[in-house]
Amino acid sequence: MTKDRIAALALVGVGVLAWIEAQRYGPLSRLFPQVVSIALVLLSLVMFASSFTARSRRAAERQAESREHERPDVRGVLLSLLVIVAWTLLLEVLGVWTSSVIAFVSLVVILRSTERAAVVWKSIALGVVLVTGFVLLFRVVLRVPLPEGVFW
Amino acid sequence: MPSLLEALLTVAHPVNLVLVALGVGAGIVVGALPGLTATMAIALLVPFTFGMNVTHALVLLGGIYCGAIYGGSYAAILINTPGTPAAIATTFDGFALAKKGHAYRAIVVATVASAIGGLVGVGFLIFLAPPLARASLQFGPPEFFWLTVFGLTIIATISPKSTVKGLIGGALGLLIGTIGIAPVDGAVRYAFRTVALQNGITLIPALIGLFCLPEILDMIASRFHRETAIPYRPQRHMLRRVWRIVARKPWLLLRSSVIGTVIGIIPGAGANIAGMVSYNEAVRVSRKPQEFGEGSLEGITASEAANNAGVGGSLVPLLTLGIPGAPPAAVLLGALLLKGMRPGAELFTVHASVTYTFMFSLVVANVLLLPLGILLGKGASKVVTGLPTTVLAPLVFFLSVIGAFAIQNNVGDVYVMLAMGLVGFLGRRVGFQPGPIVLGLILGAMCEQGLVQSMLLGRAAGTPVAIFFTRPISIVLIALTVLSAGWPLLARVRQRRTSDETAAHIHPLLEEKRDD
Repeated sequence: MTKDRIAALALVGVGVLAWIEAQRYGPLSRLFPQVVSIALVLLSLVMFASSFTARSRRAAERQAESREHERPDVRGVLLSLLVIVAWTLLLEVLGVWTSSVIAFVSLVVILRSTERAAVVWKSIALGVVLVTGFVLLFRVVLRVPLPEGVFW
Repeated sequence: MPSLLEALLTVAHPVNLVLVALGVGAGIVVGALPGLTATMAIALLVPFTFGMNVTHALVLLGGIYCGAIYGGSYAAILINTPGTPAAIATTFDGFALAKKGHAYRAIVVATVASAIGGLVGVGFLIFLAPPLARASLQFGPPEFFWLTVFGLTIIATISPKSTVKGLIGGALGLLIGTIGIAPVDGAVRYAFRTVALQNGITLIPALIGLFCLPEILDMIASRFHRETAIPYRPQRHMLRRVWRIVARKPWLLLRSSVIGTVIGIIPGAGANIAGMVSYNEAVRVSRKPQEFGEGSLEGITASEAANNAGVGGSLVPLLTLGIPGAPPAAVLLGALLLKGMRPGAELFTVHASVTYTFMFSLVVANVLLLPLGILLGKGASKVVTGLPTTVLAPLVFFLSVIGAFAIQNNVGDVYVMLAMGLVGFLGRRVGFQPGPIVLGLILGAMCEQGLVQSMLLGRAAGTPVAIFFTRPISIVLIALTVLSAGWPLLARVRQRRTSDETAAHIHPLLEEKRDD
């Protein structure tokens, strides 16, 4: 419910900003984005308004009930996201193999933090073998260009 | 005719046969992994085709598409979790049969039904696509405008949980599609002085981001639940026994395959909807509806024949009009554009040989499903439970990075992939599915070009508005648009009237996942 309202308001903001930005373009290139922005704002307002209806409240309650059993790993998601963003930013600094191996190991450690050391090492070894194998396959066999950096 | 002959000879070339087999095998393995959809299978394996010529690339991708949709049945049967959402309906009877000790029989039934369904779908593709592509030559800007509007209203139909969210997703996709150079007067829009955005959002990185990254983060969020697969042992002569059973139900096979093809043709609706609708129909028509859900072979047949028939169906609008019938077809569209092939009549004239080779390779892929599916069964079942998801999630992201980067040798595309992935992940938390966003992204340029060019044509003729409503094909498309936009309302009324137990069983599942 709250999520729906926040998302709807954020989308209204996106629509309004897109409409304002489109004002700067010529008549032919601003027509379509402006029509779409108006549609986005109107639909988002409908979404905002409908989050107050009884039907929507019931659906949200049902969803909340089912989510209670799921209990997603928020810490794991946030840490993984951090690693993924760093991985992307370091691609052209360290090179694809080096950055991928570091990120792979970091992710395995984050995601397997509660497991036995042997299991973690096995996953790390498998990850390094897979990354090396794929980098070789793309670079040498398929001749697909990959990001290059200080290292390999 | 020379193109057809040339295509047949090209498909029969050993290299192409090996590529189809590799594609089907890779598709089966990726499709069998719960959480990895057919769309992801194609998106992740597209980079393998970058160094290939267009024929080899398409032949491989076609094999992956067929294999992945079929591969979803393994996890559905062995661990009660569909490998791809297309196999949701297969879980109902497949797992029940496996629990009774007949896992191998269920797998063979799924394989036979998938192969036959797939062949029917491809048959429709081969016979329908060329005349439709010729008909598309009659389309001018107003027709293309209405065609895209029709495609976008389908969003309302395929988003039964929230039509508004589906439409918002479509509008967001349209807006994202306007980033970069305007198709009419060449102005640079929404680039905010960023060089990477000036050429617009590249389709494949956006698709990889929208379809793959949210799945990876969901895998992480769900803490990698490990499933135990039901063990099974291959039995002799099972194929012959199953063939006898399935051959006694030709109408079930044919009906399911036709349903799958038709739903596949509808833009945006994919193999998962095809499987569910076909299953629902099989229950409705059956003389023993009580057996469904308890391990009915008819249930597995209906679901698997339809979802694989949807592959051929989804390619009909893609190859003829450039509108993907399903999310995996959207990734194929990206691959086609990357190789310089624009959907439409040109595919059947200038590139006829390549196009027919691609279509015939789908026939080979479906035939290969039988031996490969049954032979790879044991291996696929090990993959389903064997590969730790802690390795799988980083591996999928690694392949996503390579796929996004290698298209233009540009790290900016990796950032686009990441940004779209975050949009997809956050959107999913609020109930937005990637399908409508992708449809908007793909149809945006065509829709804008149709709208602005029609207005210019109309202004020149002195009828700026009438041009949209007076041409015969436009009127047909408007009628279809009205029908498609009103369909959710009609369906809701119909649903209230029927208290069908199966429908109640199906709908919550149908709403779980939209992409194939």
